[in-house]
Amino acid sequence: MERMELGTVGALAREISESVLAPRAAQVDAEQRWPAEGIASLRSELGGLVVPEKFGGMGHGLLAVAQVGEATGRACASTSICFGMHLVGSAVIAADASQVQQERYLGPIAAGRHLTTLAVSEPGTGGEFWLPQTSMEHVGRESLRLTGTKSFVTNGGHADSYVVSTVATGADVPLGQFSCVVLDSDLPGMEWDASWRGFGMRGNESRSLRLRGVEVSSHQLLGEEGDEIWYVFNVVAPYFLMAMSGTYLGVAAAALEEARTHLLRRHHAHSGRALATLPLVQHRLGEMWARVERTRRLIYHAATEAEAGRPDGLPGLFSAKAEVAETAESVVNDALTLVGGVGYAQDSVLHRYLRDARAAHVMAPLTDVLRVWVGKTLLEQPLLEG
Amino acid sequence: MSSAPPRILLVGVTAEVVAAVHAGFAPEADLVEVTAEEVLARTDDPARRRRPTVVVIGPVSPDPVGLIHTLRPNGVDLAAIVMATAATEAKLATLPLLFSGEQVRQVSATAADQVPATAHQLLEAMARQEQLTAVRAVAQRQLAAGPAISRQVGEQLFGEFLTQAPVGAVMLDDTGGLAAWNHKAADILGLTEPDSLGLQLTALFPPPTLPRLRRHLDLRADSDAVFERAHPDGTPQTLRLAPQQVSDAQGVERTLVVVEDVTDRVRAQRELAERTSHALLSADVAAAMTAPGSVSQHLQRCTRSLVDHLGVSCARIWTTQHRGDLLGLAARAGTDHDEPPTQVSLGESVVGRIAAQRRPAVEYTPPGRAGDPAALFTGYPLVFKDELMGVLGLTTHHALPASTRVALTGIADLIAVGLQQDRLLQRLSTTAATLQHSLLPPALPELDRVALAARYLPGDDAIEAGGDWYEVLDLDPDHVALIVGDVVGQGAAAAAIMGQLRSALAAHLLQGQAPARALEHLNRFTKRIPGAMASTVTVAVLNTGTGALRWACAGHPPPLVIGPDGQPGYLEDGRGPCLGVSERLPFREGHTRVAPASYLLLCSDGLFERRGEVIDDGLDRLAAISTELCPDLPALIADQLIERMLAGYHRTDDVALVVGRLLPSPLQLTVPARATELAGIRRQVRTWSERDGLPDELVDDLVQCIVEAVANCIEHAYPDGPGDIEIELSYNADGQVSARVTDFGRWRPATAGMGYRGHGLTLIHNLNDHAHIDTTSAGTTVRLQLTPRRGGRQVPNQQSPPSTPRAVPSGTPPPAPRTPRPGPR
Repeated sequence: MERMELGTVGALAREISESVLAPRAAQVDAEQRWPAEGIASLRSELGGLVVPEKFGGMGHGLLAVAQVGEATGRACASTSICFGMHLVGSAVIAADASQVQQERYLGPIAAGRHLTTLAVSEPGTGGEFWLPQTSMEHVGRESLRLTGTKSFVTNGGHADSYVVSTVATGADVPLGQFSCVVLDSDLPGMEWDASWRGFGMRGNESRSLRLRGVEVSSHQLLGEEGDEIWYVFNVVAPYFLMAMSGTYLGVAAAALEEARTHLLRRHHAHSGRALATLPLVQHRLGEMWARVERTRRLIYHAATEAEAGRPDGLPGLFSAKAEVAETAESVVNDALTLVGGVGYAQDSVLHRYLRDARAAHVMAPLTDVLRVWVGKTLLEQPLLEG
Repeated sequence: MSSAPPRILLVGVTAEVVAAVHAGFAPEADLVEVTAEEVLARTDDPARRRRPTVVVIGPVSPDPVGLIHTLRPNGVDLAAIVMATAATEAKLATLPLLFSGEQVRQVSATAADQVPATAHQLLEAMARQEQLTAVRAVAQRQLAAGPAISRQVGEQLFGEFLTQAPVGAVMLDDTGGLAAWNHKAADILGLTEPDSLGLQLTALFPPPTLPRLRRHLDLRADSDAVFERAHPDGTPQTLRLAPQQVSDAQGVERTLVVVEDVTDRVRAQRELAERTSHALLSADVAAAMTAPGSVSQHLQRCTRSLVDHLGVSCARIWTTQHRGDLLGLAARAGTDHDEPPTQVSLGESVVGRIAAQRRPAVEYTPPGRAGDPAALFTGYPLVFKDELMGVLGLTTHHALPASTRVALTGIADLIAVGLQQDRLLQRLSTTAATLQHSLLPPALPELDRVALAARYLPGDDAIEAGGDWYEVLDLDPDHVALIVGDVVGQGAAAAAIMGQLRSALAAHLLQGQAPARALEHLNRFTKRIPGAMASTVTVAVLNTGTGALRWACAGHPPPLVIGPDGQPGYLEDGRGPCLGVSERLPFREGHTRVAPASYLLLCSDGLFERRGEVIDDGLDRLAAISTELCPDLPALIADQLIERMLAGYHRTDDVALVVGRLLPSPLQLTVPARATELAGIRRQVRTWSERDGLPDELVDDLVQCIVEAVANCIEHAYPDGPGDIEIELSYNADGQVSARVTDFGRWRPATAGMGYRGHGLTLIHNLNDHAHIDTTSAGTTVRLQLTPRRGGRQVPNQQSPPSTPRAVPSGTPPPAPRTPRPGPR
């Protein structure tokens, strides 16, 4: 993929969203099916978005992820998160890729032929997904054996590779030796559980993956052993938070637009007065607009600050996702209020927005945790302790 | 994980409890029985890093609730088990509201056997908690230790358009490190992220450049400063760096450096400037070597150009002398500390070695003596076709660039060629004159009735034979042809054509063809000679006896006639086209009769034509000046005409000129030797001589001499009776009047000193330049020659007649003295 300026990237993402994602969004939700067409389209056009140019990618960063997420989230939150997880995964692989990994993963990703994803969460980690319990043992000099269970693997069973977090086990291994490994799909010992069925985000194909002593070459190790914490907080968290923020900003913006469109065309039957002329409605819509827009500014600000490595980056990223979760929730709710019975009806698109938006609070790091982290950062407290 | 074993502190317990705990824990935990007062001291560790401790508060403990509140078990390293009795049960009921199960557990006082298991659970929970805490600490340390990723922020700093701009931009932080760049800068400088972030901009340039670069970045004086470096792929680059102080949104001062890759442009500019300079130098040198003037002026100009164009401190040229074994300093320009010898032998010093080896050489003179800077002498042999012409030497303070050295070999060749040409030119101009004159008639015929002069002048700059020619042909005793022609072109080819035309025309005329007819034949002939087309010629055939003149012109200026009365007139008839142009256009012939003593003048246009002047004006000038010069000897007229017509005019064309004068016919009288004849003789001589407009005094002299000579004959040759006396008067070609008086008698024997009438003879001697008396048995002949002296001018000596008086019998021309050939000017 050639270098493409950010503006062009945004335009391309909007075009794909409108032409491929939007027409299928309701169906994906209703049938709870993985959005194969939308992902194929995004992967082939923008799959190398965050792969550095030196590896043939487009070399973009957090801001592009947020903007692409907004464009896709507007049309279909499920597809947006599925593609967002690919972008996060490819950023992780690219962050410190070996020669083998460059050829095996980054090349195909940059060429739009490879879909990757994250398999980081585990059951019972209580949101502290960076402290995995999936074990990694050395088998001989050149092999690794992985045992454990990963939960909520987005794109589960559809991706070509999975970025997995592990902890070292065995005699004489140091405490807290967490590592990242990239796995190809369908290796012996990989077992997929039945799909998790959610309240919203129903096209995610979020599944549990059992790793029953899966053996892989040590070339699959990303970076060095023990780099997982670095990966999680320098790559996974920023990219994931921006992918999420973009996606749910898109949902909020879509709900706002849905409400505005509705208000523009509705009249009271008895008085003939247009809804758009009601001050109460105007006031509420004005609040909604400002909320969406200030959240967008925060997200963009967080992305640019984080890319530049400036102090505002970290609290910005944390706050962005916390803010977007609340914004999406409230704006969709306000839209439901404004659109009234039409919006509350079974076939209203606001249904999907409401269910999808609610996931923003649920997907770790949780909103409350993010707020605490912001506080910790501002008060110079250790992020992961206490 | 704590390395120390866990503790179990027993407060107010019964022996039964102690036993149960001992049975369950020893020796894996320290079991200590303490009082309620002691337990605080043991658990209140100021280091706050306690080993996992479980406090068992037994049934005999007086205030278990107060103790727990005092202990504040946290479930991390301190937990408590309270044994509830009937008395304390109610008070303990609030504890589960305040403490979690991992902090405080209740066991019935009657179930002492449950205490060890409960303690085990608490210790395990605390161990897990401790491990998690440790892992979090490790994770936190790893998080804190890992390097942060920051992408280059060009887009945010520069905006989307500058990011995509075709000019490079980099932002420097306050240490000079790279903080951001745009796409073009990344391409130019080979920047990658994150490796290049924070890298010093100066680290991208080679060390010798650094002082200048640092100054440039600090002072930001010259926005056009360029710096050279090698791109990571090895290609050399020339970059223009334009630093500028800017402040960002936070008001932080940053340095924005615009980076432009000017490698190609600078290279092209340098090459162009160099080529231009070299081309100008070459042109200058070429112009210098071919300019008018002497060779030393040429060389002087060359050295001046070298100094001016190349900025060398000194330029010198030595040329070969003495058959090439010496080199003499011929020109120099610029200043030099050295004063080299003006003459160098071959092989001696660097100049001589360059000449001897015919190879360029460089000689380095280290700085020294009175602070003279180091000097580099670069010398080139001047060689043309294996012939050494000299040496070119340049003194510089820096080595000359390779391209300049290459250009200089070309310059040396130019100078060598110029020197060679100069030598050639000198030879050529000599050769050309020789060739030209070999093609012109070696001498003019000596004619009784026509006085002649002819001149040929090459052009002022001529190095080749010109195309003008003349001819005078003695056709028969009565006819003479005067011809002037002009062949197109110059040089050997023109000379050859000239020779052919001249021969052909002579052949036709000698066959007796009239001028127009001869030109018709010549016209056809001309068409066969490549390159002869458009040649011009004028032919005039004069009957020397009658003065009848026939002429024809082929595109050539007409003859000019100046009559005895001094009236000039061009012969306007007889015009025809240039030769070889057409066979259809006829050649016309003009005819007229010229009076004796008339002048006939034929010339080529070089004599009267001037750039920027109408031809008729030139012809008028020619006629006017000619008139002023007449009458005079044709030779004098020719010289004066050339001098006056061409005075002060730089002539590129050559000139051919023929001046002829129809002399009056001779006077031949045979009279009886009687005194009575004298009056008639006197009259006839006077009439004949006056016809030519001879000056009165000369006429008087002539008449007196003749009368005297006749009187002598009467007196001495025929004392016994009258015989005949022959008198002949004529002009010769030199304008002299010859007189002959012949008798056929026998003079009295001569007496010493009085063999002749003294008075008469003295007179004759006085009046005549030459007088000669020849006495034989058959008679006596007196010959006289009188030279007219006009206008105070003296006849030049070399054109004086021979010193011996000559008899000039009519009909048979005497051997002609050769007319001295005028040499080239």
